[in-house]
Amino acid sequence: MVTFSFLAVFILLGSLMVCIDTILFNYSIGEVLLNQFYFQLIQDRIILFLTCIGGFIWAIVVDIRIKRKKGQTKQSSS
Amino acid sequence: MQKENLSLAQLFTFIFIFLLGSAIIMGSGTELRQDAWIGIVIATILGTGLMYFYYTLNNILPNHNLYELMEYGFTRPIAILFTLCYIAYFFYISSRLNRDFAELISASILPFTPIEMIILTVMLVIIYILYLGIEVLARVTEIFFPYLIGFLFLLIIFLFVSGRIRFQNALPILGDGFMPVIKGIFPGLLTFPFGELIVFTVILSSVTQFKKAKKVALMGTMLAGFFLTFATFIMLIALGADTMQFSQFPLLSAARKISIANFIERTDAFVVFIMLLGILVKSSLFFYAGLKGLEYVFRIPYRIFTFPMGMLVSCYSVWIAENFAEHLEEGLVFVTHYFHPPMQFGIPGILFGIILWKKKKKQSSKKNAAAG
Repeated sequence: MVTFSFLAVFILLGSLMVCIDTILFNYSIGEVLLNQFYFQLIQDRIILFLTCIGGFIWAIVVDIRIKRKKGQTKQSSS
Repeated sequence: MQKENLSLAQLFTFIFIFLLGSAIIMGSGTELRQDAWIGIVIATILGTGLMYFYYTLNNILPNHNLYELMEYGFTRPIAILFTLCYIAYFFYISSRLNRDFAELISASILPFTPIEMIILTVMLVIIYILYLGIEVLARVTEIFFPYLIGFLFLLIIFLFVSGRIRFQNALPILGDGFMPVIKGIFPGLLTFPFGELIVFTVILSSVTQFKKAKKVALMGTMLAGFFLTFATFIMLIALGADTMQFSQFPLLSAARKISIANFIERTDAFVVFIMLLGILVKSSLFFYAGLKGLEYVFRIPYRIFTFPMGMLVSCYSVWIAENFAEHLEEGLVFVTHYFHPPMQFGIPGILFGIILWKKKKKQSSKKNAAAG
């Protein structure tokens, strides 16, 4: 669920960002999304993408740990 | 889920620093020029009323936060839809605040540091604090509150002593009449910073002495508002209306003018400290409110979401705008007119009406049942 929530919030905030840029600055949706890949120095983009990927991997790890804990409690109760 | 407890003193410091936080650094109502302080006084009175409304909303069902109130009013599926809207809203505002802070740091003390690193550093601190719980944030706020007040007063005293104060800068008062002030209050000054008190509808349920929280919340709002008025007036008479209006960070510009005996100069650090504490508290509270929304939707303790969502908010702090000008434009146009009003007034207003109607219906059906 944590991974799902990560993706959901990612899409929610992304949609909000796209909405604001298209309404306010008359960018197209493609332009808004491509800007995230091109508008800064490569080192800054790497930091951002690593941050995002790091959060995603953490969410997956947390989900795995929650599932394992649930499995263990089920085993101990049975 | 684990119950958190906040004391009344912690609530007061939260509200005070929350309201002062970014408003005092970014300047609020500066487009009103010489009438900015008048606008803030009126907005303070209205903001106190707004805080009273948010408290009343929480008071209908104490120990229920905003999301639980929405479940009571709307039923769970619709509450989840609105909760997702509020999650996006709170996380977006948190990322905007991080961006404000990073731009100030980049402009004032660390011009060559990538903005991403500044945002990441602040966010990691916020993640750590909130992972440990809101009580930790409350204690941090309590500890640093006297320093914030002290530094602010020091700045004001230094401005007076360095001879930068010119009372003529405050004239003319209401030169263009009262209408520009009214136009500036709605929705500008009312939504920022007073409308952002909506975040306390998520936090008030954690206050231990809830009945006394009303007085504390209203007092905190009023004091913060008048403090903001005083600070805005000082910035006006120190900088003049033009510099105050067009400066990115008016308080920083005012602090840079301080020079006492060619010895006490470069007091930027005081401003940076005030901003750091203000943003830390404000961004943390918005982030916490978003996390509580996720806790409500997914029924998982909010601590588990802290790190992944923190990383996401860090990324979006950079992605929301290409540069500071675009960031300010979004805040002044889109957020103030189209985002804040429905989230701060629209949905809570409708929710309040529906909950009151439901309660009345319940009471009348109870009376009918008792009579029958």
